Amino acid sequence: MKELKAVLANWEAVIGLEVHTELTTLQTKMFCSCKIEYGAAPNTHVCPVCLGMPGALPQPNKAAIQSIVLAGLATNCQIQRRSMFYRKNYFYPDMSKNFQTTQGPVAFCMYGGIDLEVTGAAACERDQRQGTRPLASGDGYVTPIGIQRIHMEEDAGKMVHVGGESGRITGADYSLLDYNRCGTPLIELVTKPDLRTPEEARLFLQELRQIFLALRISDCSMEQGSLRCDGNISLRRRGSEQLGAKTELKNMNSFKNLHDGLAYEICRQAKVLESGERVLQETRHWEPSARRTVSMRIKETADDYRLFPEPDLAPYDLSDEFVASVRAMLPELPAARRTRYLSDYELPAADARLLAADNDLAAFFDSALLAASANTDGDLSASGLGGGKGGQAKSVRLVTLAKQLANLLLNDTQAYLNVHNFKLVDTSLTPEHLVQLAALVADGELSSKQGKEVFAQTIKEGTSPRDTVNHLGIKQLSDTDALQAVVNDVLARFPDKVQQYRAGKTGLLGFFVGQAMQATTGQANPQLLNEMFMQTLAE
Amino acid sequence: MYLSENEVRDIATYTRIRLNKDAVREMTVYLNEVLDGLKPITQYQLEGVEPTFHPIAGLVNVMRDDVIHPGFSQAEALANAPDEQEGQFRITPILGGEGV
Repeated sequence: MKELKAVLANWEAVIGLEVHTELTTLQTKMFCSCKIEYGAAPNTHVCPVCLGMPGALPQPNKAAIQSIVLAGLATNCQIQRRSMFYRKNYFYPDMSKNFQTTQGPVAFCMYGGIDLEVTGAAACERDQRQGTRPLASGDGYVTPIGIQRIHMEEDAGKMVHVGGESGRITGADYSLLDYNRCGTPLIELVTKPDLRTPEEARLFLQELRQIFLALRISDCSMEQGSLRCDGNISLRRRGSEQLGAKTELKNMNSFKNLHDGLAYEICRQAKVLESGERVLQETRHWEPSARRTVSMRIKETADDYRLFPEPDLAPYDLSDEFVASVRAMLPELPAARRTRYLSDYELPAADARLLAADNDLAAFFDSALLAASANTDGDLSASGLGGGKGGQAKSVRLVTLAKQLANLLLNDTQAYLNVHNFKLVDTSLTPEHLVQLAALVADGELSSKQGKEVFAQTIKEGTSPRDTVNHLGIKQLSDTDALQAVVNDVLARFPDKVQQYRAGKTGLLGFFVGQAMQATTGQANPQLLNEMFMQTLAE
Repeated sequence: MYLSENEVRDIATYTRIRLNKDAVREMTVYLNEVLDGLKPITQYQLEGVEPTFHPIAGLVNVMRDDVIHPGFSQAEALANAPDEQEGQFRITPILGGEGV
């Protein structure tokens, strides 16, 4: 089989995604008041409604409707005031009432989309002559990805197939059912077939996850199945407008699997088409361990689910007030946060992206800078911290501080959290302390190496960086009088090296600085030493 | 004729009703008679009229607050189960088995 890059030089992949998200942050299920809890003892959060008992009447969860409207507003969808629920009939034990309650032709949210930024090595996989514009940074492009609809539905129960071939349904001796998950509110987002590469699909799902996390409507755990993704994919010759036969790809339960599954399927379809055969319209299953997709079932016609209006649920006619009240709940979204970090703080693009993607880190970053502005001189408080309204003059100090702070959060803090498997709230670190440390490093009072030492103490013990500095006696030596003595001493010890330097071997500067650092047990300001050596040697 | 015998056979399959050839022929006649009864509707000017196919009239936006009310205990949930194992419903093979 050809490599993806070679295939994409001749073929264009047309990819659409279906993304299911469980609204795990809610207390109760979609149509009954049973608790939502992952990992509870089986069948302990069930009732007549979610067990599908005769005569049970469903009652929709208002918070779930608010959540889906929130998701729609955040992805630029039009909120459909009038819609209703339907019964999608199917016979399978994971839904004991024999139908899934879902939406019909009209979903709560329709016709939306987001702008997707694609950077990095995979940016060249797309034919960028159409539908994209280059990024200002020059390392990628932006392309709009349309969203057809987001509709409200419910999740099914969990099944375990016992006996036979390793947990497969075929040949199983019997199956076990736990209905705790049954009836969990689920939103299904369907994109337009606007994605062109596996990398775009991966980045889109990542962006969507960040948006939903910012909205706090789900924990979006692909591992635990609260965020799931299927892909529809077909190939056409580059430049062609006609759509080819598509396959549906399942079991892509991580970002890597989504990317690799699609990449494999693109190469497989290219091989089929190039050998003159036709792609069968079928559902295929990605097997990560074998790195291949296998056919699950051939699709002849669309499944007939006998979709009809759910007679037990009243239709919706959402009021302007309802939509406005949800709009008022919209937080700052990752894309806006990213832009703010770039324009207000001039953070490096990669740092801005990483910080904006993580709610906890971003909130910490914002409140740290807010703390700094609250207790410093006028030059900080005048700079529009945290508000993100823009337009205010930037202060040089703020930019320096923000950069240092981002560095501490993304490197030192993140590393510490990873090692200990902690969340930010599990540590004693406060925004006030971290920005204090950032200031100490930014002002040259501590070297970055000393900064790390103080950081370790701060995050572990919750002590203020200033106290730690005083207590441990670590302080960067920036006193020029004291340092000049050290400089003179080093030069006196190595007269031959001084001669070589003056004869043009300027690379020896590092050697001198190293000697001086050693003499001060690492406490001298290396930048300052650099300058002082150059000056002294030039005299 | 609104419905063919083939379509009636499909409907029977969806609804899990076993019909023999004669019954399909008979039901095709009946169903077409029912649809024929709706014919007068086509004589009305219906442009711009919203469909009223939802059975609940007058009620909209019925919703409840997101508050937990305990349902069944595990024992109650499984009380009528044909079989159980470790708190779960135990059911016969879904594919290829004998069925209940």
